Amino acid sequence: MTNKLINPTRASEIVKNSIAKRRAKDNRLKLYGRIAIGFAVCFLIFLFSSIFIKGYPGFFQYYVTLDINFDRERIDPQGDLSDNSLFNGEASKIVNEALFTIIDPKGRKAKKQAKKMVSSGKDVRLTNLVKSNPNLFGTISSVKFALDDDIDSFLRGYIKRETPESERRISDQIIKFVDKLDKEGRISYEFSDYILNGSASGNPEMAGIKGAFFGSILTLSVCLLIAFPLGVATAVYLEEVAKKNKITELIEVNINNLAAVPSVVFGIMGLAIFISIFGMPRSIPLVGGMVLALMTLPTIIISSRAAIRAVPPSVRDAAYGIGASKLQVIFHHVIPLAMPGMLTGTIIGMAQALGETAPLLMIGMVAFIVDVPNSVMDPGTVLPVQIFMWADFAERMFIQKTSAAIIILLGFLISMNAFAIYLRKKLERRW
Amino acid sequence: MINEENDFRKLDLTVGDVFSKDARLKARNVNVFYGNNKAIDNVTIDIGNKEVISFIGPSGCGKSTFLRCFNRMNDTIDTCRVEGKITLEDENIYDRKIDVVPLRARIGMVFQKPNPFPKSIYDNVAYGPRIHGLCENKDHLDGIVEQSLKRAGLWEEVNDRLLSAGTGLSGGQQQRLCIARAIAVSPEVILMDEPCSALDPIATAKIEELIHELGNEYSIVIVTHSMQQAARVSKRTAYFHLGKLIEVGKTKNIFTRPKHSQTEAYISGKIG
Amino acid sequence: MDNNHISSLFDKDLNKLNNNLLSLGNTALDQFDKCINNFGTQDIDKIEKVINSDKILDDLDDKVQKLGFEIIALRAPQAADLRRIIVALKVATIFERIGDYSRNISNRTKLLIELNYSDLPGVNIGKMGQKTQTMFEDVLEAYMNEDDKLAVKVRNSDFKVDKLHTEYYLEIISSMQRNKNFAPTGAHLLFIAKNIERVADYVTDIAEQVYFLVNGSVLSDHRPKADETSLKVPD
Repeated sequence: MTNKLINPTRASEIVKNSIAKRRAKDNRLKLYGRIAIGFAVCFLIFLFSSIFIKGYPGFFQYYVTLDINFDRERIDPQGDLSDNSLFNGEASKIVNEALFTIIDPKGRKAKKQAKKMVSSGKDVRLTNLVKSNPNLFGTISSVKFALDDDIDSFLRGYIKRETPESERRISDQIIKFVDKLDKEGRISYEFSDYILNGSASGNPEMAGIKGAFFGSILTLSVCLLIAFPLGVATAVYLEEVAKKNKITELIEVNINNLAAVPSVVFGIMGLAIFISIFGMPRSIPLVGGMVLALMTLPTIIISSRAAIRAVPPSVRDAAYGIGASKLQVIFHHVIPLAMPGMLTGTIIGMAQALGETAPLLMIGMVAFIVDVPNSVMDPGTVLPVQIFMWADFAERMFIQKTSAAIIILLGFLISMNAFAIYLRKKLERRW
Repeated sequence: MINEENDFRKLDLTVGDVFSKDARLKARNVNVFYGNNKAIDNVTIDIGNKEVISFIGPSGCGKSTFLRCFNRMNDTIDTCRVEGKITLEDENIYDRKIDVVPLRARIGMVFQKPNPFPKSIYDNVAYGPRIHGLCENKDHLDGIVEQSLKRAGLWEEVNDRLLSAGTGLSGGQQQRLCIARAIAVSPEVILMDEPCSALDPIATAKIEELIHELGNEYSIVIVTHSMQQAARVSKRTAYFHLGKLIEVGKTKNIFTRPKHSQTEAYISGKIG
Repeated sequence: MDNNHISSLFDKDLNKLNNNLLSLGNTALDQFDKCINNFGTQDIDKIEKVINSDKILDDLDDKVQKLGFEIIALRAPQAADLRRIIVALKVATIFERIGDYSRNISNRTKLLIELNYSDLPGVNIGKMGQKTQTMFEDVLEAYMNEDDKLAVKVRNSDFKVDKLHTEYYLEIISSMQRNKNFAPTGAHLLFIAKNIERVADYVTDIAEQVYFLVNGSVLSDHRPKADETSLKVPD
């Protein structure tokens, strides 16, 4: 048979000649990759910077400094600083008086408009101040109050002087008052203490994410407590205990499919089963957590199974060989080695659940809840739903606060993912 | 027993001394199937008390499969089916009533690639005694760990770092750690599946010397693809080919004047 | 000999081989010593003992052969170990043959006694025997200590024995030519002298093996020979 192999010298010549073409191909591929990454990075930069630019102002708002006469008899008529007493006091009126001394409104219309200049939470602010610092009684001290959201928008420049009065949200009179306050240097632009401490409110200047934040934490806790043990146990059962037959194959296919089901369907299921059939109350973190758990379970199961499969059979062999029972092999060897992968999958699932809006809307977490929920049975809402609700409102300030809330949500998500990476690095073991 | 021997010899299937006077493990007419594939064909052999016996043969001849029958590790493979009788001190280990967990404490195993647990050296050796309840208190456990490591020839090298990771040792040390782990549960038989194939020649020589010492305490069955290793380490050698046991005999005889022509061909490198 | 292989079994086997070989060598030396002495003392009982003890040498040689064979089969010895085993096998055979010669010398001594042999002047079998004995002792020492210099010395002293052999040969031939009745005695004497010369040759073979054992190469120059009995016809 003739020798089909090329002789070595000729072969190396051919290879040398073809090298230029191959190098060019490699370089082209590298270039495409770099261009693609460049695009992605540009979009990311664009996305984050636009969010940041929009949201950063949401952390600040305009305040007016007023000199308040802390008259005890008027603020705390019963003299015991009880809620009842403070409620019956004249905190609002005192604030308005302080304002009027500066701007001096003339006429009933002007006075009516002036009363709305300071945010309607002024009485709560004043009473909280005296509760925490009773020494203020009998003094005249400066207190900063948040300005109404329309004035805030005007000061930011969204409502323009040039617009005709009929098309403006604030009147010329108000503008005059604002200019007067500004001339006296009483208007300041400060870090908002409402965004983080306030809860849902119809008044944009008082709105904050505190309630939603705690609601998210409670809901996620319920979700984690249900989904993690169930998910891990299911994965362990399917990988280690169940016999490989048609039934387990069917289960595996179904779990994989469930991971792709739109989350809103889980919300509908929660509505139908937990709320209608079991009669659980709407809008509580417990039900929200249960719905999210259902949604996150497939993710946790799939990643846990992958982690368990990654445990090398030599570890199992060694454990069986020494006479460990099946359960001992699973709990002493397989689960500890698979734990990093399982935790990573769980945290990523949680991060996903944190951002879910649709299923929670279905079970009624869209309700307007002002109080911060204290337990899983208290009505509450979650961050993404809060953002969703705010996005609906027309006031300009809500737009900024929405972006600010998005920044907070993103921050939460990034830190969860960073935690997942840290955990994985820490727990990674060489075997 | 004598009748069985004579009947057996009449069948003339395996050549050589298949039976031992003082046998620990007796395998009789063992067949092993993977699905429909017959991997071991009607093998009968005795493993003697406190002897080192090696199984040799070309790859795929079934020696590892047969080895794993002795401690029922084949149970972990779904498609594997074992027929026949294997008795440990007159108890058939494949009987339904037998619990495989204590069996594996009596018949220990060392694997081809060293596989210490990802725990400390101390915990590696202590794991077996802990789960089988072999120790009464911490001092007793410390003693078991020390003695096992000494018997495995590892104590001198690691006694100052018992709490460091077992996986941080060299290949040869890891394998000795696995041997110590097996010894810690006081087995009667130790099975070794190509224990040195992942090690360099010096580490191999050290482990072979260790096996020679251990042969005074335990029955040891070694599967090896290196016939030189079988020649160095074992007193008795069994040659397998395509699932059948061709010849068993004293190692000196197998390597100087084997009885079966197939054995001769394998030993002198005439067949793969 | 430093025997610290990682495998203690290997060391054990090598030591066993070595001990048996030295035992064989010392017994062969002892047999030779005795047969030379007995030539002088003409003690029939002692001569019989030497003849009957030859079997011990055969048994020891068998043992060494078997052990060497097994070590090669089971241990695949390399380098110095391999040379040791091969040399041991060769040298054991040589010791056994030396033993055979001692037996032959003893048999012929018996016959000489029956022929009422008394000293033939000019033929000092004892002197030749002692020279060979010295060589034999030295070569055993050279083997035990793996001393190649001593081995070369032994090898170079073979010619002295050869010279004596030539001398005695000529003397015995001329005696036989002078006195026809002396022929049977003379024939035995010739054989005895030849046997001793053969023993010396064998001892020299052993010395060359010791050199090979230590250095791994064969002595290249020619062995000095002085035995001209096969080269010249006496006049």
